[in-house]
Amino acid sequence: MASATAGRRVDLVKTLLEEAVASAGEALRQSDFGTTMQTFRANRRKAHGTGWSWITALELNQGPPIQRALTAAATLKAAGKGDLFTVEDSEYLGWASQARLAIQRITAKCWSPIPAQIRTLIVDEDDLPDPLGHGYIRNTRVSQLGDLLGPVGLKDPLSRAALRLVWSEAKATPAFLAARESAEAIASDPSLAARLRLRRSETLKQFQPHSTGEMLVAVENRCRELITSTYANEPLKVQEVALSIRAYNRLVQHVLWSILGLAERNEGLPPIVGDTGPIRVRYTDEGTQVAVSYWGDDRRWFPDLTEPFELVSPLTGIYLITGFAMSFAGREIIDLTGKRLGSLEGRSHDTAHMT
Amino acid sequence: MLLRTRPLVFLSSTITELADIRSEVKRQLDQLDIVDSWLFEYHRAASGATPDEQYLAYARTCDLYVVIVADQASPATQAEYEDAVRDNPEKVLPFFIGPDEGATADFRAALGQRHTFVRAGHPDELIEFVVAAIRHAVESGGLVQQGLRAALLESVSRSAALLNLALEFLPRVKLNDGESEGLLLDECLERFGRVLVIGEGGAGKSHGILVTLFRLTQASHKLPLYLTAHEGTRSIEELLESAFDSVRFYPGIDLINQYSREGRLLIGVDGYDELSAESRKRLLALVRGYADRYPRCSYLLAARYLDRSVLPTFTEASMAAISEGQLTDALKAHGYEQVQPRRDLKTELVDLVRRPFWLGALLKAGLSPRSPLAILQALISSRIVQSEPTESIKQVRTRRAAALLALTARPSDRVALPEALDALSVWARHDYIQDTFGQVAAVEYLEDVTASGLIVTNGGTVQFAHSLLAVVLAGEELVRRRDLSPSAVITDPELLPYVAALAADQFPSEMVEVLAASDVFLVARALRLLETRESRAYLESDAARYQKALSALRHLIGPGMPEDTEPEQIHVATDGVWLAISPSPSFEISVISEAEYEQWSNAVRAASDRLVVWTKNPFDDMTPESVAAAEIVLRFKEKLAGLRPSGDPYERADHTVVRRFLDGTTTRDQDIVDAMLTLRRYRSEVIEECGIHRSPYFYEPSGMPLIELFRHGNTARIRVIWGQDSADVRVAAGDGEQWYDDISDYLVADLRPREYRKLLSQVEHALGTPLTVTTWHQPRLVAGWTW
Repeated sequence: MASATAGRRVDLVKTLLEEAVASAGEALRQSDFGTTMQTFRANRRKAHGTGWSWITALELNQGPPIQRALTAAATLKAAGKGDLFTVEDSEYLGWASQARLAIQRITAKCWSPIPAQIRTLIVDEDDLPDPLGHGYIRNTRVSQLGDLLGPVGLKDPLSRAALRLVWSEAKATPAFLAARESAEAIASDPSLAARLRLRRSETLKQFQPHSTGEMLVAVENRCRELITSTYANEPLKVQEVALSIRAYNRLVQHVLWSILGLAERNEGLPPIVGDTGPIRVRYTDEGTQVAVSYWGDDRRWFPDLTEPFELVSPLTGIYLITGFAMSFAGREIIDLTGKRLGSLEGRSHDTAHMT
Repeated sequence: MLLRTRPLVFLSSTITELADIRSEVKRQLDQLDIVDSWLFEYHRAASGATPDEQYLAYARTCDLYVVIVADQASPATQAEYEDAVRDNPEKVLPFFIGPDEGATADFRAALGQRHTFVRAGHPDELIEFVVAAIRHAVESGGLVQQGLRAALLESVSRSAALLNLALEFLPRVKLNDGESEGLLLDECLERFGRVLVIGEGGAGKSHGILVTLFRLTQASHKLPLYLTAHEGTRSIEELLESAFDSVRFYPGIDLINQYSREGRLLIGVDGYDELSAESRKRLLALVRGYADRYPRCSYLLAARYLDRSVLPTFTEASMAAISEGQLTDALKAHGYEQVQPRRDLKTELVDLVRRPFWLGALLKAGLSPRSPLAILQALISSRIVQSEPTESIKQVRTRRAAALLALTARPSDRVALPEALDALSVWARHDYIQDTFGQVAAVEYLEDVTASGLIVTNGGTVQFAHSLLAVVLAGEELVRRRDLSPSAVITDPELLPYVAALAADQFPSEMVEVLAASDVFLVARALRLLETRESRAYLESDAARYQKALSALRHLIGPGMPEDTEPEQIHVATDGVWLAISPSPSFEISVISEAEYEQWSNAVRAASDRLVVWTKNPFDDMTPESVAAAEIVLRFKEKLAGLRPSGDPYERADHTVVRRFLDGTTTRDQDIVDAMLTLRRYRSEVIEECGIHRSPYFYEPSGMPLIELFRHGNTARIRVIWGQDSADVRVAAGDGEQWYDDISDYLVADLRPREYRKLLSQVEHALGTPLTVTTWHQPRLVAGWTW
């Protein structure tokens, strides 16, 4: 079982990666990229209040910023409702497609020097085609070249420096070291690589719907099951390399989700303090999970599933929301469950998935 | 007291002048056989009292006063009339015969101004008119409607005086159809005819029923009957008689049955929550039976919680919260223009003030109370101080006497007057009471409490102005006596949370004992009553007390691991501000920094993968026992959540499956019986696993099922009646009530998800908070407030 937080620490409390993620989130929030995200978000919410936007409606609970818009659009297209996009929707989706390329460029930096052809040998949730799945940003292990950051407003030195720090810290984690060792093992063993390639090819073929009548949710459940069981009957060596690459992939996804969630906010995120009641902490193979309640106020009462939150001593760290509920009787109470980013930095994790 | 079983008609006129007419009226009334008549010449009794005392008494107490005015003036008749009209002008039926001039001119003029009279041309006509008027007055109930409405108004006014609750406040309800919000209760009753009014203590149920009965009889001839059930209730007729009796009308069973048959009654039943479990069951059976027997009457039944299946023909309506606008208006009206509830009220009270009683109580008590319990105590104090502003010793003794009466009345909030006086007499004779308060007669104590408005003495009964006041006073008395053995309160589930909450600070270990004998729902309610306190925490002793309480309460949430037979040990880590608690093989306390927390948490994970972390030491705000109680309720929720079966709770069989079933294979009956038995078994398992099988909320049906299928084409509704000697399946006539389940709900492979969902819903009712919202993490709001 992994330790509660496996990474290197700032003042022995927050991990260096968490600190870098918080800085990057703040830098991106103030960049053109963040401003664009915030503008689109405000417009969509306004549209939701005054009119009807299918994208807005379907975006809810669809995963990380940017990806969720593209998932919603793909869902509509799959349902034969592509003509329902408004002009604003189309503009937003155009930008989101570009932004996803930029994100893929950022994640490529997190994976370097592990070659793309090796890191993509392992099947994971980011391989699911849109609109299936809504936990991972798609294709974050592929290699994207060229200046993809500039066109979406990520050319300012502050953002670039902050992102450089993130991928530097990500690559200093035990999770990355384990993934790199696995990549080296694959590179040095052609039969292992061939076996992984075959499994990947077989699995991806099955991601397609069995029939035109198969429900989307059924396809998604089937695909998730496939991903979970892809390496279940493989030799231990195969399982180990798959596990370590997936573990690092999960960390990268959470890092991305946190940065994008922070960047999308109109203002910085205050930590949850004050009367939180007993915070229940559970240590699992999927990381440290917390359940916390707090009172709503003007600044923080309606959490967005995609934004991370911070807790205070002794649980200081960045957490990603895994669920929330609200009580409106009297003063609003918000209950959050979350997973600590720092707890994903360790080496050993199972094949469970971010949900 | 007059012993009467049906309406009494007093026939008043000059006797000799109208002797024949009076005899004939009497004869016809006897023949009619719906009233008793009283005529001086027939019914006077030998008595030490003078004749006028006798007939004036009857004039005052009769139900209908018939006055016939002919030619001769009679001071006796006029005196009778004056007494009768003073009692109730509605009961006076005036008849004139002969010319208006002469000796009776003035009397006729006075009668004509105050009442609607009938003039007869000749004696036969007069007899016919009199008998017809009596018959109509009795059969329509018209003679008593005003009295009944006045009684309702008096009750509403009393409550208004207690709580500053505006008379115009109209209760609204929401139906559990997910659509109808904010419906007025009277609209709801008009629409559905039978309404189960659900709401927490203080949600405005009683007020709602009173106002609804009053409003709906404004423009109709229906009779509004507000019935208060009590432990000894044996029939609805008996409660109806008692309600009529309160306005001194004695219709008798036959007439009550006639009213009921004709749908003339609008019946509101209250007091359910003050009954013991056995009496509740009996009352429900009585209400169900009466409603079935007399479907044309309208019915309201108030309860804090009731499984709708118990009264399947009633529409369930939950009391709606006071709207934001109403709340703001109420605060403004009492001089709190600047108060914003969310900002300015204690967190524990923000949701409460959306309920009529609590809003009224808070306004009356001022905005300083910090908890629900403190509001009630402040309200009691304010009533006493209002009636006795200067003498503090008298205030104390009035409160003590009120508390004694409240305890005497438990589990009800009313007690017979002689019993109340007896209890006060015995109590007043105790040395310590005499030493403290001097020699005070029981009657004087009773008068003081009455003057405070905490009780009302009515018809030989002492009743508390509100059941929540009674319960908190009774709790005070028990805690004062330190009579906190679980046996003293366990049979009174309404009282138990109050006793626990009142004992929390002073007698914490007794509080744990009381809670340990209850169930998790009562623990939640007790927690909800408490207020936070600021006190210095002593970690070592606090942690030890917490651990002890946790062990004592653990059984409330069902069996755990085998090692649960041992006291639960804990390891506490703290830096002086935050506190982390982990299960541990031994009791330990570590003072560490946050930097060391990581290492500590890794070490304790050998014992458990779960920790509870407080960012601020909880023992600063709550007793360790209360913190432990909150932990128990939270664990209950987690345990229940962990028992959720996989599968779709909304799954239904498609029409082909239903048709095959209904077409009747040889195993059909056995299949459905097996399904029901399996369901019951599953439900019992979950309930036992969570430790709530002892709770009255979760009684399990016994015996075998009688299953009725109401077939309608290719579908059917199903009703299950437990308690049979052997299982049976019948295809019944008709479509079945719309409240019965659809058979397609039962013809699925796995019935557990649906049953689990039902169970969750019941748990939510019992706790007063949705399980989807984990407000449980906030112990002070761990449950709603289903007192």
